[in-house]
Amino acid sequence: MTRRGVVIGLAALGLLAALPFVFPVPYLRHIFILAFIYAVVASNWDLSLGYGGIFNFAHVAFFSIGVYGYGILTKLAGWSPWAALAAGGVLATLAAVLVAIPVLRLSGIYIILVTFAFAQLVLQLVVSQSGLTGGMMGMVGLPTFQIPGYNLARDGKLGYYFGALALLVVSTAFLRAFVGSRLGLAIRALRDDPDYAAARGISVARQRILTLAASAFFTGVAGAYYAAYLRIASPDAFGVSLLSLLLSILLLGGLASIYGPVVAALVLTFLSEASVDLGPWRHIAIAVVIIVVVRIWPGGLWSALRRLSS
Amino acid sequence: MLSVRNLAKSYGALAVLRDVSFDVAAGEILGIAGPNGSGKSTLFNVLTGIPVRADDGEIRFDGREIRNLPAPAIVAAGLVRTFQRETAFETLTSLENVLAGPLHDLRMPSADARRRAEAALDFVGFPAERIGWIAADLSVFDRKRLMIASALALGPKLCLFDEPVAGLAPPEIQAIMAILRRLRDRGTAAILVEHVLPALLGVSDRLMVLHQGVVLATGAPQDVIRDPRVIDAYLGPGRHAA
Repeated sequence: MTRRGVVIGLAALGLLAALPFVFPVPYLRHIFILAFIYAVVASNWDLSLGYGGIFNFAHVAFFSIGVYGYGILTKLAGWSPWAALAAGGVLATLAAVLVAIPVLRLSGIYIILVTFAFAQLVLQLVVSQSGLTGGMMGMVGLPTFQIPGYNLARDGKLGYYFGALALLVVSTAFLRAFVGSRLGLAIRALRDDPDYAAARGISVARQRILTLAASAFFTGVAGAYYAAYLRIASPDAFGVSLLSLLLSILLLGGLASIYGPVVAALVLTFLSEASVDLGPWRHIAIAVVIIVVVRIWPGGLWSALRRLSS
Repeated sequence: MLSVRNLAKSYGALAVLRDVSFDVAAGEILGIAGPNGSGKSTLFNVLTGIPVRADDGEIRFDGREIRNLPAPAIVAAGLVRTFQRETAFETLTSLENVLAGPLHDLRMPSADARRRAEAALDFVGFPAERIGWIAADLSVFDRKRLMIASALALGPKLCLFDEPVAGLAPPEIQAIMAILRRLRDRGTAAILVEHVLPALLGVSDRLMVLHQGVVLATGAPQDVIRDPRVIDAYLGPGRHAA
């Protein structure tokens, strides 16, 4: 990252850190918390889809595994919420390794089919095991995060706001480090030309497993955080609306950029809230905005920001 | 170094390679000629397992059977190829293109990989000012050199060059042939497939001609190009002086 990029990043972080004190409105914090969580999930999806070129539609399932992992471990197994938060990431990573196995030798549309089927399989599992998961009703009243003597939900969700912001910062730093590493170079090479990558000694199998696993960890953690914040685990976490929201974030932000989905998550979440009064026209209006942005800047918002700043 | 015996590859009823056998000694350059569709590129494909494998036969490299090894394991053994098309990782810079292979070996320190990449780029005469360019922005000649450099950065014992001068202007052809000669001088073995006959004859120690998937002739280049069977294959029956 350039010096200018570091300064801009730190300024944006400072702004977000000061925001809850400048505007002490709990609802505003709530919107930001959701936007931060969506930003984590979308930017991690960008790792497998944008950088890895893997059409992985199991990503929403990784998020849901974090959600339900947190619910089951805290409510039924009696784990501490913090341990369940980490476990959400580990469980999602294990699921990613599992889904990577049938994907190793596939490409294009077949990867979409297998990963989408995996997501549906996990959903059916959740719905059918109602004794554990609450079935279609889901799980409610999940434990919240606490640090000694303080519940993160107090003071207008202030703790959850900074927790979500910290999760976004750590996840983004991880993604930047991964993409900039030798592993990141190999996954970009593999995306550009799999046969040529194999001819240069790059193992398709190893890279795909690593890419999916790396993209799943913080997605699972975000799922667990989401469950702890809203105190519910519901099959909606597998829903088409979440899937389309995340895809919209990726499209609007720009693939293979990491920061693009982060910016787009904030823009879309607030755009969605700001257009509530439009009723059913809201989704159409947002879709039009996305189409216009992508039409003008095919690389999405991130490429637009970079172009404008240069 | 490389010993190929009775290699066969078919696509359905079409036999592309039949009973192909040959050897390559350490430090030797074997040239392969043959009309279009004679099986030259398929031979490279099955030797490296990219993107297809042989149906039958034996491929021994440094005494080890490699026919069923995964492609990266064949590369790790020291058998590396280039492609007919000037292939590159389009969104990566020139330096990243050459670094991607060596860096994939997690045991290799980054500094060593970079040294190797820079040495390989220097060896092929790649312009230093373009190592930061995105590969998609490079000329055909630069992409050809980049592909060769990325192969050499892997430290191959045997390099397979598939029409390295195809589509190049005469001075560029000379530059690529000079690279191959320097490679021979430093003792790296190579198999060279090429349609440009003077280029092929200029660097090959031995020449092998493939025709319709079978080995038609093998031997000293000047002997092979006078072989009546080779002349028949290229020019049609009855066109040779004998």
